[in-house]
Amino acid sequence: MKNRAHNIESNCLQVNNLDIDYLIGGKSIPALRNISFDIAPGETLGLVGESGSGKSTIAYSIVKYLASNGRVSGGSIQFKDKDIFSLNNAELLKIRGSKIALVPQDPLTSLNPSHRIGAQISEILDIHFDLTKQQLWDRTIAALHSVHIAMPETTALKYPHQISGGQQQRVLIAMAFCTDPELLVMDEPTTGLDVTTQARILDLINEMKALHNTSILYITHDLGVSKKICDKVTIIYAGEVVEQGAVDEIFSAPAHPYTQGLIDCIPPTCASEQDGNRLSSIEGFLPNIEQLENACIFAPRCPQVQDQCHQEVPPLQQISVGHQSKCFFRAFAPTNKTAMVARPQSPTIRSETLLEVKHLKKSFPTKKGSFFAVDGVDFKCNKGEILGIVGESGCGKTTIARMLVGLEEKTSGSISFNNHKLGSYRERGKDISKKIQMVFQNPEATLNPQKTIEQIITRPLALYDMVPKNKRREKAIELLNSVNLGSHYLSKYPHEISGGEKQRIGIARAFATDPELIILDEPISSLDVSVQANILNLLQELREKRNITYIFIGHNLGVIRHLCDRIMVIYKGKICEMGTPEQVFQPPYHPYTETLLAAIPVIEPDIEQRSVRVEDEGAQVELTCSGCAFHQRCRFNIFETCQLRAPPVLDCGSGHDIACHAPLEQLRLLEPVFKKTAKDRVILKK
Amino acid sequence: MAGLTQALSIGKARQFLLKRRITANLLIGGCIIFAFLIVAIFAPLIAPYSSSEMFTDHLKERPSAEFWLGTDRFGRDVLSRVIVGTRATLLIATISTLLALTLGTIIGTSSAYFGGKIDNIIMRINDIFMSFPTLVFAILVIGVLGPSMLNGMIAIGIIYAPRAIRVVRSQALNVVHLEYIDAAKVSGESSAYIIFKEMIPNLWPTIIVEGSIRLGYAILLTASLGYIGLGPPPPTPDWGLMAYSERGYMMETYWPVFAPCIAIVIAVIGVNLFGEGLKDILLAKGSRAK
Repeated sequence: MKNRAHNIESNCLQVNNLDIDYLIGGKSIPALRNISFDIAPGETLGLVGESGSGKSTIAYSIVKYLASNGRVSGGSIQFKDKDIFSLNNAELLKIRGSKIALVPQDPLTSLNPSHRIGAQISEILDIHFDLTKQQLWDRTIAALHSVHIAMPETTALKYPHQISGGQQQRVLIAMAFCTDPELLVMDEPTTGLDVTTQARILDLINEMKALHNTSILYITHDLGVSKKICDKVTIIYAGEVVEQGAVDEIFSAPAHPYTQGLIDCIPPTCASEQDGNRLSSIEGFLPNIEQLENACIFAPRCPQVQDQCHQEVPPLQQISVGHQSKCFFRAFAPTNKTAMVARPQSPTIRSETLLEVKHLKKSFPTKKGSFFAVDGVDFKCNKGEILGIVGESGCGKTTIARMLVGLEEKTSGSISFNNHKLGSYRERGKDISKKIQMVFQNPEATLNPQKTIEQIITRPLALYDMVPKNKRREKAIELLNSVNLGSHYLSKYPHEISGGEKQRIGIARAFATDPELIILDEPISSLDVSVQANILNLLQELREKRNITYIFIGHNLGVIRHLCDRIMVIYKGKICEMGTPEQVFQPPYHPYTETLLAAIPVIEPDIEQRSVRVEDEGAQVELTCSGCAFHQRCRFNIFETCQLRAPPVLDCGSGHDIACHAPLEQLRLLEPVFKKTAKDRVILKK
Repeated sequence: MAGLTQALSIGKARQFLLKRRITANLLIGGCIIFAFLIVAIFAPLIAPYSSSEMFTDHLKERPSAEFWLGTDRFGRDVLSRVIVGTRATLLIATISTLLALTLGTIIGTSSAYFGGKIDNIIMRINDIFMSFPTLVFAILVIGVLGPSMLNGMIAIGIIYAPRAIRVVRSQALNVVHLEYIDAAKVSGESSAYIIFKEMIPNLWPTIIVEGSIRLGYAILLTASLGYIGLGPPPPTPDWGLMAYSERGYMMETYWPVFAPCIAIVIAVIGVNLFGEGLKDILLAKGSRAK
């Protein structure tokens, strides 16, 4: 499969020198330039790029479904023996859905909420095949069965909102495969899903592909995901292909500096010699493609830039069979190791407790009673420490954060900060509000669009009267500098700056009041990988300078491991495991932590990851569970005990706690999820 | 290349308008409103005669070169009365709309911000107010306060405030759970600061569009109140009152009735077109992002 088929006839899809322009405000903008790739039958091609690189435009051009202002200005797309652009609408209708199927990103909005699931699948079958009612029903059930939906007959009669997000995505995959298409275009199908759900959906896609021998164009921004599922990877940057090749080669010997940069941006998955160092990051921003210069598109951000790069456009050079890179130079040794600054001794964590949370509970009323989003959480956070809270969506991590800052009223339990009991934000005195700040998840909503950056940053200074009026501007500039932004940002409005910059302003605002504790609620999850690394480095740097305490909430264990001193794993509002990164990443594991670790999409070629099978989350969410919240999905489930009795906290020594019924000895015997293999990263020399 | 030639063929002026989403609605509506404003401000200068001067030998005269829109039964020039009448109508309509918007913005935004029980109580009271027929409610308010220009403004303002509250609140609900509001709460800002400085500046587009739509209704209601005799007392010329007092002779002399009515129609159409045009500019912006 990895031998590239050179014969055009045998390719399932062939894109040749595709150019697409968008007409915006009377100007024509070349969104895609000279894109070429091909997919052989049964092959999966990963299209990897950051936001704004043009990935989705490629996907929609394949089914000739561009936005009204988009225009193909050159090149061709060949599907089997047909030229897509020369087909008329009637011919396209025949191909769309039956020969080429699309799996979209957001499962909930892609399913019609007012039709039953079965009806939505049989509708597609009805359009493309001539079947009787009974046959339609049978095929629908078979399609649902093939994507491992338990009880397909009952699920077929349900409405989309009655099943979980993972199951919705399964239904969409069933819909895509039910007509037995030859090409499947998947536009970030797992981006909105939890890691464990993502891992299972990826397994499913691989299984279905093998069964139907379908070619897949898989669009993603996540290198880890592409490594798990693709045979070939095409990296695109600002509308151009910069590198393409077989997946193993791309990850073990990336040739283009952009690819190298992307790979180096991702925190190492398990303990390595780079721990404690700054992450390397890609400086700068996406180029303005309105004014293209006759130069390498990546040159302004490239760490290995040469004079030649500014003078001519590099060709797509052949590196080995099927491996091409759009760079003058064959390959560079990664420079990140020298560029990295070793982290100075992390500030001494005093054993003084800053924050103590006891039996914290939060319930929301539902039709059937009340639902505990946070169900009895106890933890302490010491001064100068970074505590990571990790869990999947709906586990209550954001609710904990909102209770800590007082945006959410707690149902019971206590939060004490420096031995002061904390209530909701309305009850807090100014001296407490000042010391606890928060950085929010969504950079687009975190800044008031009607205020300038200066107004936003100086407001806390004025509110607490910390700096005399005539010095506020200076202080604002100082704060901006501390988040690596210049003073010219002061007069800008939020819509004029990028997502990563907005998040920096959000951090600067949190630091303005000189707080002792900052709660970071997934501050990097909606940013691009290269920007994530920047923000992580910034957070580390600020902590070293100010000896501040962070509570960092996230769903990406790799990021949490890189940044945090202690990790708290929670599931359905209860703490599963608590310990240092080393303790959490090594056995003994809580069974849930084990599945989380096994689901991380790993990019390092020298790490072997053990797979752990876990059940899908049931559609019904139990409102209250007297026993362990994870018992339904746990492979160690002890009959009745786990369901009915709350698990005891096992002390594994030196602050490592696991809440589980399984005996500690059994958990200790678990094999580590990650193992280093001897195969080291191959570095090609020029 | 194809895109470029097309862009050039559109023409510079149209391109300018397209880029700013300025539609024909906005231009036509804006011109009409501007014309009415000029007329209202310079009414005594524009009007050919005094609005109260009676030409006793020109009673109920047809439109002519001397009296462009004819005369009424007292021999007063209809055109002059319509022109001077613009003042009272526009003044009452504009001030009452501003009153309705002010009440609507403050109450609507506060209601959305506080939420829960407070929101519920405010909105139910609002529902009660909205369930009165507007004219009946206006008669009630003026009946209590007594007829005068000021009371007319208050009445119309109070009648349209609940509708403004609804619209502003629904938009404020979209803003209130955004993270910058949370950030303000976390940093210890007062409720008044959050409502006035964080939320309301983001509601301006809604408020302006709502105001321009409300203004059309307010002109109609002003005229209606004038018609039933609750407008500004005579001799101030008022469109509604003019139509009322001449209606008995409509069969023989229709122009003294029709002239103010047509003025009302043009003013309302102008305001509505302008409101629609503003909506395209101000409210469509957010939807462009997706």
